Amino acid sequence: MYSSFSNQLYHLFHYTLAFAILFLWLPKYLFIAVDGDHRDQLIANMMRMVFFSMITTYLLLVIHLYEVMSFLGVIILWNYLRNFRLSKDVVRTPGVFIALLYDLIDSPQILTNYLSELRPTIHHLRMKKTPPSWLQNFQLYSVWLTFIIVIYIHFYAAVTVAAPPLSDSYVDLAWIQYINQRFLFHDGIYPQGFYIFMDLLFKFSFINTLYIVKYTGGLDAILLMYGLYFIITSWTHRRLGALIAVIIYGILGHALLLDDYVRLAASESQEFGVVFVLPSIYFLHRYISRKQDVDLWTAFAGMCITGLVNPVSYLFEAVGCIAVAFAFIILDYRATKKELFKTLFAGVASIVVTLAPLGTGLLLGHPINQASTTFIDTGVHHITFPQLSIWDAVTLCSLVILLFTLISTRRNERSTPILSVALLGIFIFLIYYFGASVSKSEVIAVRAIDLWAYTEALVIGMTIQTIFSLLGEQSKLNIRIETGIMFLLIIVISIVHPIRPILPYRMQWNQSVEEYLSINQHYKYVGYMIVSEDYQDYDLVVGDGYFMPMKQFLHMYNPTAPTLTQYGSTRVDRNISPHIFLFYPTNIFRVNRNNAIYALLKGTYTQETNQRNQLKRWLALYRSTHKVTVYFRGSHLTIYELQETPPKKKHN
Amino acid sequence: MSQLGRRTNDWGNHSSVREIADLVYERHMEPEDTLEIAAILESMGWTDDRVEKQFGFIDVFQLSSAIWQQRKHIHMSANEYKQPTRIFVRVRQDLLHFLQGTIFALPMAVSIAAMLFLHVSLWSYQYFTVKIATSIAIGTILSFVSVGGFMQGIARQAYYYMLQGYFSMARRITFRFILAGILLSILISIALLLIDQLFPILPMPMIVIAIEYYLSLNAIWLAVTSMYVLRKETIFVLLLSGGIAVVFIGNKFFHINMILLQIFAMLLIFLAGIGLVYHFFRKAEQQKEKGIRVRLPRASILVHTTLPYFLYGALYFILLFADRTIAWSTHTTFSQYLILFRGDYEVGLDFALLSLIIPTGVAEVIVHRLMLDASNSQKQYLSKQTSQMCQYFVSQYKKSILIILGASIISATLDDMLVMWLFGRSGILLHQSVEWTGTTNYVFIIGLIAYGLLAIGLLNSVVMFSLSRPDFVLSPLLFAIIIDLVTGFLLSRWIGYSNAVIGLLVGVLLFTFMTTRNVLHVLRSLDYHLYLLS
Repeated sequence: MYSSFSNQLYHLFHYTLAFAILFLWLPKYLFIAVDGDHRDQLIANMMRMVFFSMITTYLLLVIHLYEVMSFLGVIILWNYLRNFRLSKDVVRTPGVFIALLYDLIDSPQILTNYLSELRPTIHHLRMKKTPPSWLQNFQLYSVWLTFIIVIYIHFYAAVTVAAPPLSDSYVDLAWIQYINQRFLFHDGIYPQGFYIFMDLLFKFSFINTLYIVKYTGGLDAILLMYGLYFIITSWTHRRLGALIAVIIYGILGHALLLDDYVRLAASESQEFGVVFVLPSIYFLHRYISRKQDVDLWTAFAGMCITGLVNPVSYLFEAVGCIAVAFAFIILDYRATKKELFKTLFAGVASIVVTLAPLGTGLLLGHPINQASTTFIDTGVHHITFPQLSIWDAVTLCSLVILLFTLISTRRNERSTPILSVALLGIFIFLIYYFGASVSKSEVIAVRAIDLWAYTEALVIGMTIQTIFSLLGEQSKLNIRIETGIMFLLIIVISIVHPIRPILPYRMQWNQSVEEYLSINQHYKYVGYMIVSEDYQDYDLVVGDGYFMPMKQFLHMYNPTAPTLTQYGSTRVDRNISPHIFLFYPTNIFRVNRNNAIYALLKGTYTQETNQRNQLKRWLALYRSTHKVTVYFRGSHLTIYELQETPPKKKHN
Repeated sequence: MSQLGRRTNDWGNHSSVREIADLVYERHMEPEDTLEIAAILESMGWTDDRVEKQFGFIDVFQLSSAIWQQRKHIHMSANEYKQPTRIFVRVRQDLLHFLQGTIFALPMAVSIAAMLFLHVSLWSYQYFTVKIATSIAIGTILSFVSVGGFMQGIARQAYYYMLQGYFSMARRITFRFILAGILLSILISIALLLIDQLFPILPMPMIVIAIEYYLSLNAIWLAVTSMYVLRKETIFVLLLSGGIAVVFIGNKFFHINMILLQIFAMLLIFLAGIGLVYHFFRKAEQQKEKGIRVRLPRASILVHTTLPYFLYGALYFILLFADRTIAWSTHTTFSQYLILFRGDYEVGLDFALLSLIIPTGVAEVIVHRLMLDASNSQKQYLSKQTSQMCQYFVSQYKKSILIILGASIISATLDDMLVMWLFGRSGILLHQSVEWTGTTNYVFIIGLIAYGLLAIGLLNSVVMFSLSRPDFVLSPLLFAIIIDLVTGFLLSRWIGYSNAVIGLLVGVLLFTFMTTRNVLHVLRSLDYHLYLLS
């Protein structure tokens, strides 16, 4: 069963392991460490590794060499070149290691001695660290609790519902497999960064793509929340504002995102791109204020990721970086002139990187993805300004407070972060409110709300923390009040706003997906083919087995001849997989009539009903001459298994 | 493999100071002083402890003083070494060395013959599925790579002690290596199981089969090397044949599962082999042991002195198998496995490998002669004639390369004729599932060229190890593997999996070129290297 504890534990373990190794552990050995605490290190490493992976994979795909071995080969080469360049000390390391090995061979007790010496050192280090106060502990527990609630809301569907969420997931499934099979731009040119990221997880976790797609959706949402938490706590060194931002976006998100709220539990390239926006804004700000190149490189990695993943997230990133640059131009131009020029250069370079896949695709002769072209070309005919909600009003007031705080207080280290957030808020609001009417673009009209919602959480969180900071930086009373609010907030929210997981709409029965997983598990290595009228099954099967549309099957194979003999032929077709599974829907799945997608799928449902009737007749004829094996019989679906007629044995 | 350990120390079984003095002056005609003699003695394995126990001297320095006293007398006799060897004695010696060089292939020949006529061998079976064949191939390659180092270690160290007459030490060191090899194999097996749990590269049953064969094969390789050191190759061939007979009979008449049978037979061979090795060592200890019971060197010293040989063993097998791994891991739309055995590629290379037998035998003869000449040259040439001496060896070496090349061509031609006969006129393989496809032929032809060149590389390796320059072999080997992997990978992915064999060819070409250059470099300053050796 898909949702069984053991099944989920197994797949989650492999997914987490692959993610941790690829994006958290490996980058430690590939890139120069940034200054800062472990959070800074972790996020900077992840950003640089994601960018490195995307570029490497693109290059390997172009030269048809993309696979685990070549990817690891590039990593080894990069590591070698880096060590070679760094210093001679690194080169001497093997000698030291061998000497240590010899000592160990002669006296193995060295190891036990070393370990026994290490224990008191660790203990000593622990003792040296000032133990957190009960207030700090309390704050941390509140943060943990909030994140547990957020994980529950956004991950629930991924671990309990087998069917992929929204229609986009099916595109994800197919595109991951195309990349895996070294087909770049199989369905036309579209940024492949997100699919590359998922394919790498697929390659290193060795689990079905379905799990990758489902878990990545939940992971994106959690990383989005963490991005909010990370930037606010890093800039303000306090937790209250960050926690409020996470609660607003992660728990009360429906009020901000409306129908798009379900996107936070699905795997969407736009949301994945947005994950990197706030961290790269943070590192860009850090670069301009501290002037360390490694921070610019990290921010540049973030800019490029968003560009390589999704145009809307790149727009958000660009606006964020412009906001930071403007903040420094306004507040500290003279001291940061050089850094601002370098930032401009990095921004231009990121445009080149973003457009490189497009150029490559065109050079390789691929057209631009049709669905994207249609979406981009769709104009807005009726210009309507979005209706402002109470949250929008609160955000706008927050922006005013932020600007007022900035004017009324002396310039300090928080001035540029506050102005950056304020400018970002203003710019994104302008795009949200006027963007569609000015550009007449459907993309802006539909997607600006997603960017605005995320910005709202950031602005409100930052404002609340700024207000509290005004009351006193290190005042014990202030911290006590903040801690109390944090605790109360979680309790109140839990009572007032019931914690409900996001359950995005799906396109097929869970039964159907679960049975596909079962077939795949048992027949993957011997080969199988699924015959179904549901085209979503193609996206599930691609890369693992074979798929044939029901219509084609019924027109091709004669039910009264030996199994899998084509009409007009006397021979059994040996060119297809020996195990065939006919999906017979006893109850055709339909999306909710209120769903916008229903109108598009209405015709397909009629067609599926017709095909089902034809299959019924075909099976009746088949039964008259053959024995039919039922592989699965459920409330919505019956699966028949056909086995190719075995060849007659030759007698010598 | 044993050639590496055999040549550097031809002294042993000595009972008097005079004999020791002979050996010392044979290595260095005109030592500077007693200190140099002491250094030579220590390099021959004499310690204070041993000197005291055998001759009653306080330490090595006292023995060296005694030898220094005898220098005039010895000097005279040392110059009388040059005895013309009779032609038939020389031919007999050469023939013996040739057989020693080729005998390593006897088990392989038996195995191939068994496959051709019985369709079964110890670790192969004609009717295994591709999945099982993949598992066994993984186990086999892994076993060669992980145990190759131990095989070299045993060959080097056990020979070293045996040639000095220390059979007890040779036995202890052999079993120490066997134990270490087995322990490492078990550790690798556990690691493989764990890795496959974390990254399920292959289905668990396939990994289990691979590990079963890996462990069993490791066990028999370790036994083989010990037999080889003891010059009991024929006994091993008999054991192998017995094992094949067990597998054949068990399957043919009792229909026992083939995998179980093969594992059982291999373990049986290992146990019998180890038992016999122990017996032969004990027998030798009783009959020939001349030394005293000395402690084995410290483990770290043992590791340090054996490390180059160990690395050579592992890297050599990596070079041999890298292209197969690359070819088998080439992705196809129809395969769900990361790595899948490709019989047509394997058959081509297996048959090409047979061509290495004759050149290896010839290389054994050449190296033996070359090193004997080098040893004698210290007495033939005066110090002012060193350039002449070097020139002589360079020209001798160049001739040797031509001889090896000739032997390789003859061997390749014979191999090709054998293949044509087996797959054509003989009709032996007419109704068998072994096919000689276009891919097989392509791999076979390129493989013949590659192995022909490898014979020169192997000759160079033995020369370099004999002159204590392992670094001149190891780094070319490492570069060769890298170039093999890179070329094979690129060509197999861009053109087709069979082109992985080009990687082998390019790798071997580089290895041979680099080692040839290194040998020439060493031979041009041979006097210096001979001095270091003494």
